[in-house]
Amino acid sequence: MTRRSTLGIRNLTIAAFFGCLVAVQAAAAPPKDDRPPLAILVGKILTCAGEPVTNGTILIKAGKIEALGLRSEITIPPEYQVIDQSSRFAMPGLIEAHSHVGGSGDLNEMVYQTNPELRNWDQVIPHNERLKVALAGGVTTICFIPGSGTNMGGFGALMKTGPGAPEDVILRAPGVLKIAQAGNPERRGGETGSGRMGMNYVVRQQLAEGREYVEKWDAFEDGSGPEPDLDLRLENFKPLFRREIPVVVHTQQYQVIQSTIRMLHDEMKLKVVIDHGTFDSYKLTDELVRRNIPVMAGPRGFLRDRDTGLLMGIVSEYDRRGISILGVNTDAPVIPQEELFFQASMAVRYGWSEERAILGLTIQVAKALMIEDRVGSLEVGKDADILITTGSILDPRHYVTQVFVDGRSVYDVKKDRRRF
Amino acid sequence: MQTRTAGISRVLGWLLVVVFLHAPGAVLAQEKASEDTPADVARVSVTAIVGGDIHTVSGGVIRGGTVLVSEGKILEVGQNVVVPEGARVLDAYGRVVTPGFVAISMTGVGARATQAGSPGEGGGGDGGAATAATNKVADILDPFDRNIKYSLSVGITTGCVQLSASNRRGRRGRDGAPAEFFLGVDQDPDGVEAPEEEEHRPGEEFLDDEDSTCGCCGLTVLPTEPIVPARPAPSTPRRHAVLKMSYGQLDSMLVKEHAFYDLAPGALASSESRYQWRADIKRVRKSMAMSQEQPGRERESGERSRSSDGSRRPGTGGGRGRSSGGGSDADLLRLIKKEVSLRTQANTVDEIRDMIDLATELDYDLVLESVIEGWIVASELGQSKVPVILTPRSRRQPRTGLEDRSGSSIESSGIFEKAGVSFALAALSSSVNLNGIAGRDLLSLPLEAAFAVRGGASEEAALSSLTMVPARMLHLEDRIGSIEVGKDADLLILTGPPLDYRTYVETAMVGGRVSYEREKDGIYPPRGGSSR
Repeated sequence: MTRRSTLGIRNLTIAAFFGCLVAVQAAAAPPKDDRPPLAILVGKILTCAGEPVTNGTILIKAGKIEALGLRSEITIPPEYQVIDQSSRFAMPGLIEAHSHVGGSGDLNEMVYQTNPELRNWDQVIPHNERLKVALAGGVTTICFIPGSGTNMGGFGALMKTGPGAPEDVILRAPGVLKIAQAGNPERRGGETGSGRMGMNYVVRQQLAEGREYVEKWDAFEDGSGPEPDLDLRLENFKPLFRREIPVVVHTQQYQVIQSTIRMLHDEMKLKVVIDHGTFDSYKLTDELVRRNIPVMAGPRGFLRDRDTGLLMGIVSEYDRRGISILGVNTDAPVIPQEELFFQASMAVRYGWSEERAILGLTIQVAKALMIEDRVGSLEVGKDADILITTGSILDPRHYVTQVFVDGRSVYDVKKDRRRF
Repeated sequence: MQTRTAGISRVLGWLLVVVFLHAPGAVLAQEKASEDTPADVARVSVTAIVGGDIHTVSGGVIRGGTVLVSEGKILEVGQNVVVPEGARVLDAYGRVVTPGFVAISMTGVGARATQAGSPGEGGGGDGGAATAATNKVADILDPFDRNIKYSLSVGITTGCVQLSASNRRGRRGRDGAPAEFFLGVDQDPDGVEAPEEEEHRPGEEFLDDEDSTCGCCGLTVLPTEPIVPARPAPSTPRRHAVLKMSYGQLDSMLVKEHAFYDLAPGALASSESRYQWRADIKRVRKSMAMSQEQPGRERESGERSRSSDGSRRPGTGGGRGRSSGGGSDADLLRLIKKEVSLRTQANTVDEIRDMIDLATELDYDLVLESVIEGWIVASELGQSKVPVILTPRSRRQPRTGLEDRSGSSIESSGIFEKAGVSFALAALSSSVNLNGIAGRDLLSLPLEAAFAVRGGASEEAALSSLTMVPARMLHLEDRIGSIEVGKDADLLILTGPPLDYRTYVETAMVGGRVSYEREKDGIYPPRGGSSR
């Protein structure tokens, strides 16, 4: 809560300075809550925080989970609207670690190689056509980030997929920094940064500049230094170097992930999330485990091993080697956003366990993105982002019948045409 | 110690007695004998798949049943089938036996580039009729294509393999491209979709800079925007052959040299092309009536005569006349005689209705592909008995103002089943792709059936859409598509229910021969111990 409000104040400062239209994280008095308190009766609750609850009840008030437990143990107050889903499953809404479909599709500014001044939360289009289908696939939170056309694409936002004004749906902005190593930025030609040596330099150089800026501000706020000039280009580095938000890194292949670890974690001391981590990267798991770096693997899910010819499941190989915060991503629209669950299904097919796959769609992603206090599991006090499904979300034969975001029913196959 | 040895030998003794008393049941001992004794090789060999739950497709599920296979055909199926002496036994206890899956849309499997018959040599160079006449599918078959093993690993035992260039996805084929493009025989003309690269080379996966690729990672992004009617396209038929995935066995690979009369999307879109189409069909029908050949053979399967391998008909090499549309008269003749169906894409409601009307008017069999808006006219499709090829995961947004009456529907499969429309399934991509994206290429075909169930289809219809329905589309329902006595022994032993995403193919049999074994073929890591 404190983090949220400090961020909010910071953003308000920026908004006041530059007259931006979108005042993210509005700290003003919230509008009157029109959401009725709800009681959902569920056949099986996968809480993603301990054992499943069979024949359970979830109480929702003011968008948060008020109580959760066995039906026999929870008394429903009379004013609560009862929703009977006792033949269904309930689970937390799915969280996407790497998405480009949260707003307008212009993902890349391709003039400079590093663009810390860019932020994409002004581009957010809440509940757009793709997000409507995503909801039907169970995705309630996405990490909406700039593309990887340059080495540092800008800052992304964490947002809900349900309807509302931008300030309602944005969970955190700045949500993450996006850095792209190797691959895409190499498609550029000519300038420094289109090769791997060059990009490592420009990324480090830019981060060093940002770190220095944040250190000056930290000194000022401690009272041990003069007030620095505000530099809008570097302003968003503050939460990053204060380790309040992570950097999500487009990085894959053994060699590239080595440089991710060395530069971003060891040298710059950032909270790092490996966001792809495909091909042979899993062979570097020991180094990631030692530093407790989360991996959100995908969209590529398997690798044909050069030596054996076997199709190796990338997620299961990370898992087997001991990554603790492990999830999947779609890189939507590469894999449609609504098929996030299917990324996990395929990982299970290639050897991951179903239990871990469910966690890898929810709480593990929340931990990687540092929003586990808000979403990712069904626990008292957390956001009421709840899926009602006909069975295991991992089985394509089953589907989502109703979705609640912040305690509001935003998709219901009884009323809406089934979207997925 | 002494007593234990004595005990063991006593048990062994009893076992021997039991073996001799119950010879037919003494399966293991006999199997060993049949392998060891040369005399048994000469006898007709029988293979028995024992103990599995048999999903016959045509006759329900037989719990704990036995399938006997001999000479490539199914000899017997049932619960009380006696396994004959000397039979080779495949244990399927606790597992599921289904017919091999039939992939109705397949590219780049089994028919690959070879040295034989490069263009410009051997008279294939003048395009069109000469190409069709001189190039044999048999010349480009590759029974050792690794993609056959990959296909078998997901249960595909028969495939309708497209040999002509595709312009379904990717770049559009140009006018003036060679009349018929033959993988491995013709040169790859400009604008033709290249077969997907199998080898992964580090770094190169990022090089693609097409518009249809992701701005972040360069991977292909499938379209979701609202559909538009197909633009008029040349009406040259594209060639498919039906191939068995009989790995390593060239002789049994080719099932049917002409699978469909396949027209590109939009080939019959303009009034001009339809005029020509009517004229061509009428002309060929007339000349057929005048020729000595018996016209109007009945479609009922029993009365249709077919050569044993269903291929290499004399008509193939004919190419006598040539209709202005691009297909040879021999091609049209096959369509008119209902030996093959017309296969074409129809996505909008209007396109679907037009194709049904034309087929009714000109009296040929029709198979519609893609059918994004088919769910809206499902009853019309059902009444006209037109089967469709569906990709349940295809998603196209509705058009503005028609939110409830246009675009794709995830519920298409269920709507089709209720309306009596039989549907076969196509994966999102028809080729094997090892670039690492799991569950979106040909190898996800059985998973597409799970998505059909998600859309409301019954498990029976979904399994049928992988087996019997495509078999019927290929006019091969008397040979493949179900587990029935006399049909080809294309059988799968699965580790679990056929539509479960966790199920693996343990053994795949093609024409009575074990062509894939998970434990031996080295495609997937061994089970167990893979995850914590």
